[in-house]
Amino acid sequence: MNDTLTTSARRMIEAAGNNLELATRILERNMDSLLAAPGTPREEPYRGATPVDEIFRFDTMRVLRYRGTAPLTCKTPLVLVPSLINRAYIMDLMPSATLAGSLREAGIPVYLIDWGTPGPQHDHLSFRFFIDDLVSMATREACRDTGAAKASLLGYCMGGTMSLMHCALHPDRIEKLVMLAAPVNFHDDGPLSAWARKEAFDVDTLVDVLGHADCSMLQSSFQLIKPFSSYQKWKNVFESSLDAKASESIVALESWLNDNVNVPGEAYRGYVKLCYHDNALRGGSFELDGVRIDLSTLRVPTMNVMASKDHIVPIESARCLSELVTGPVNEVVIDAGHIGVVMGRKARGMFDTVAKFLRES
Amino acid sequence: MEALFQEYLKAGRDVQTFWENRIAQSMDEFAKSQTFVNTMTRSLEQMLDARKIWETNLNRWAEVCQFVTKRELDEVNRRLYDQNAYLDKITTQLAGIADQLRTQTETLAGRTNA
Repeated sequence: MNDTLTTSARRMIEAAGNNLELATRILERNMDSLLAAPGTPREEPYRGATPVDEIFRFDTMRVLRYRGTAPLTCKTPLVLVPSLINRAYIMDLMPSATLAGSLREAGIPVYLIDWGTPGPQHDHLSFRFFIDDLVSMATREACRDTGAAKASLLGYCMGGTMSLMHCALHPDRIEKLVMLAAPVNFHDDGPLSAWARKEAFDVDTLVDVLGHADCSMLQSSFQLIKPFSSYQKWKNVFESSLDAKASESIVALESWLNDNVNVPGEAYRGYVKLCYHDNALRGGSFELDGVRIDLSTLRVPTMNVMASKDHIVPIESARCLSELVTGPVNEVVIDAGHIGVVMGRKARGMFDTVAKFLRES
Repeated sequence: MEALFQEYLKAGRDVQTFWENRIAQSMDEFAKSQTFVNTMTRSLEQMLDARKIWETNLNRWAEVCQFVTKRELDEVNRRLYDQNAYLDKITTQLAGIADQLRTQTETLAGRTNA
């Protein structure tokens, strides 16, 4: 009996030892990669159309500088802030439809924040950490690279809302702000607003259980906003299959649409509660992790670009910005959808308008 | 005859487009309806409950058999990330102090030379 017990105990200790050894090896591997950051490049190719140089990296977040042939005529660097939900290269999707490339060719030094692929080590980071700390790192590096004292921000979709909050936190560091299809009023008539309100969506349970907002979940919600669109999309693919340019565009766009990332848990919780549950930005003054943000004190010249056919950010959701801030707001409305505003045919004229706004003193 | 056939095809396509648009519109409206929101909420809650049960069981087994769970490793990763963020802040502050010191030294050197 004693022998059996001793043997079992020995086996258990051996098994525990093996597990511990395995855990230590995994830990070492993670430690190596984590301790190497920031500064050490990791393999994650940039899938945009314009060539870039990496000027800064903090863990998975990196700041990319766009290369261009045109001489720089604008001193203030422009930092592009993408959404946390999708990949950053939508602003540089194809050579024929690149916002970043067009602005660089207009003589503006353009930089992109690429959030990278977040892992479980980012789940505890607050929404403010992204808005404040990481965007600050990016603007600091862009200013250091160009020798300018201030930087301009251009945010797309959720990135626009984040840029607005960053401006309100650090108005002294920002020269100009451009918002592309960025929601400000989150209680609108759209389906996303109906689904994500406090009564319908328990974000606490989701984040407590999963630790993050899963990309497959977010992707299927976006598809369900227009349930019939999948059928219509494939019909379009069939109909335009003989048109090489259209097919190329469809492949590029679909590749981006399906190249999703998880959203870090706490940041997602903060974003949903602040924006979708409380609709805090609409009130103009709110608290973010104990810091007061008052949009009415914002005097930074702003350009608000909206899309009239946007089903994700309805035009009314973006338009109310001018009622909230004190500085001048140039409103531009484009006859396009949510993605068309950044890469569509109709958006190309808008690229020049944005470049002109950024260049004028 | 061919013209008639073309007319016939066009009419067919028009009817198809009409019904496609009607279906798309009614499905968009349904996605916004309270019934749909309730169904989606319920299915999400059920999925999360199942996941919770699985995780609780896994944690119990981890305690009994003394193995390290992914959550515990993730926690170590999070702490390391925070240390990196903290180090970056210190580096930035030190760089700022170094800049100020350099400026002051240059000013003082200028005064001494003058």
